[in-house]
Amino acid sequence: MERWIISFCIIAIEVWGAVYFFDIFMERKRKGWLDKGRYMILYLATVLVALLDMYQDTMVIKVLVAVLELMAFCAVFYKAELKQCIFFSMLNYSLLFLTDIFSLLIENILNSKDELYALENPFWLVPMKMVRVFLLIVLRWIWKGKNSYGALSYKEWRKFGMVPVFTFVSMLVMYFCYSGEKKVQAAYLFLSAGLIAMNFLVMVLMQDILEKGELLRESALTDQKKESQLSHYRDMQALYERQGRKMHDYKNQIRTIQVLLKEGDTQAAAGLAERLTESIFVEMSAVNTNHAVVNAVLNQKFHVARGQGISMIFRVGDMSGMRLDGEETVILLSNLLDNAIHECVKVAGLGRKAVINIKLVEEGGKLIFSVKNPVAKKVQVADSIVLDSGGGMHGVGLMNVKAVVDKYGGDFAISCDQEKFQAVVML
Amino acid sequence: MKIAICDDREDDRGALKALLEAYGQDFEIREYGSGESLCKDMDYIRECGIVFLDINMDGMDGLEVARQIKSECPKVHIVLVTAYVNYALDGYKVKASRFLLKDDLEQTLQECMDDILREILQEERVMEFGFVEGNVRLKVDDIIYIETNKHKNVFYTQEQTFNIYKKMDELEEDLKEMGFVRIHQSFLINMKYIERISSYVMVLTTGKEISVPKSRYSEVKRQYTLFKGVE
Repeated sequence: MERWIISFCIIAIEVWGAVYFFDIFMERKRKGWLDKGRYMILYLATVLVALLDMYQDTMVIKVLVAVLELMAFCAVFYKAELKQCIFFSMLNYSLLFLTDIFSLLIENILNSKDELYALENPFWLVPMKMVRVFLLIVLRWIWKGKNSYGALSYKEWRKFGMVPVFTFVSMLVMYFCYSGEKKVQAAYLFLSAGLIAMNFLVMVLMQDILEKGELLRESALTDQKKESQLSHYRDMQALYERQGRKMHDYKNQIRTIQVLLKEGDTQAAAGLAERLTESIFVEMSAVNTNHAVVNAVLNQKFHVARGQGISMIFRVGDMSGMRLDGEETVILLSNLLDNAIHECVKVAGLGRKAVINIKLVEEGGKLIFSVKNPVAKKVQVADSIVLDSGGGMHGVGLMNVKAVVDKYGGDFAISCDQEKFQAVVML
Repeated sequence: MKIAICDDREDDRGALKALLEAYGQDFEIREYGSGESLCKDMDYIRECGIVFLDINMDGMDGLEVARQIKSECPKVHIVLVTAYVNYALDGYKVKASRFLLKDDLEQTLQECMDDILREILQEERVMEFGFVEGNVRLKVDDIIYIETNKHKNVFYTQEQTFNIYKKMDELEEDLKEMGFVRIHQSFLINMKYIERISSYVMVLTTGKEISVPKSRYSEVKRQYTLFKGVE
């Protein structure tokens, strides 16, 4: 009877430890009442697995079932991909197993026993579990990283995954090759402590990689911001240069009109004047939104697009009240329009019509900026970023846009189907 | 559908008419050589789905015509056509649907027509529902939201409410891609009537406040943002 009571207590501590471990590394899905009952759900599942293990002799299968149970728990309750579920479930179980072996080995050495899995007094199991609890607290203290693993590539996950796999193999070897000899026990004690330390090291290394990845991304974002600002000044420069050339041209045209008028050829003069007026509007007066920076960017992108055979349909409003500063405006407009133009060039290359729909208006006190363009091929999108073929983030332009949107507490959404890509900013 | 083209240049009118006829749908198209002649034919304009207006016309210019049309027929879609991009801002002031450049029409007209026809279809879409009150043909755009109340779902429109014994999942499927968002097990909202969403509360234009669960909040905001981008 007391064994049953101790077993249920041990399972409760292990379940608490597992949930604590997963909470350190993964973000919960927050499923309401189901989330609140996750301890109980895992507890009942673990009890069921333990009862089933009574009818199973093969250690390998017992371990696999236990890991699968944890993986299922992760998949249901945490926002984690399959590789993260596998990695953290194996890591959790290996730490559990290793701390148990470590504690039992200490007890064996002290009591000069030959069997690994029998304690003199079963009540010692409860304080033994405190070793794992202590390690979890240390792990919590070490792991200051965010639970976002996008920076890790598939290759890096594979490399990190080798550690828990190696740990598992080592654990099973220790289990099956156990001996009562003091030297063997001491060696296994050292090995289990070393494996625990190695697993901790893996987490520290992972954290370092994630932090460095974050720094690299921030650096890329800063570079991109500088590039956007430079691009804006280049746009202004290009505009002034074009205006300067046109002014020179118009002077000549006006002189020609004067000559025609002096000669009495009023019809030719009127025709030339009309063509000149049209030319001035088309070339120099670009999209007018009552905001100098917006005008500069839209104008430049409009001309760039036209130069590449890409058309634009506008729905623009009065932007004079826009609260973004110049740099943020450039980041927002340039990134989205550059992406649209870039994609339209590919579409035009396939012989399809390339038209960009631009909406930049203020409605209900909110600034709405929407860019819709055709796509050559559907792209994967997730959480307002475009993913590359490997599932990682493609480019930093949209991250810059998101950073500006987040600063103002706005919303940014993207969607893509087989034909169209749409990006919308609402501030 | 009836379409009106107003441009003081016959060549430009002809070119636009040809493009519209090539669009592939059976349109009734009338041409007008000035803003004044267009405004005299308001009976036809009221029946029009789309009016194409050149901005730069002698006499009454396109913007003035657009203002007059909008004041008498607010539901007509106005597309301003011009050689001058500079007027884009003014175009929006008169609530023009779109703004196209004349020298770009071959590229842009189809896209523009696709979008406007989709909007018109959305505005006019009517569905028949088997309500407790009887079979009723409702304009989808008139539905503000649908709420579950005990074992039935209640349709809230501007004028009245209707009850229906149909699952919310089925209603969500029926109204798919018509601008509705499922914010809750018990609520299906027409995004046209959303005033704002913040701090997990959605406020409708009618003043009704509905809590948005945390688990659905980011997806609801995403759908609403995309909706505002195309509206």
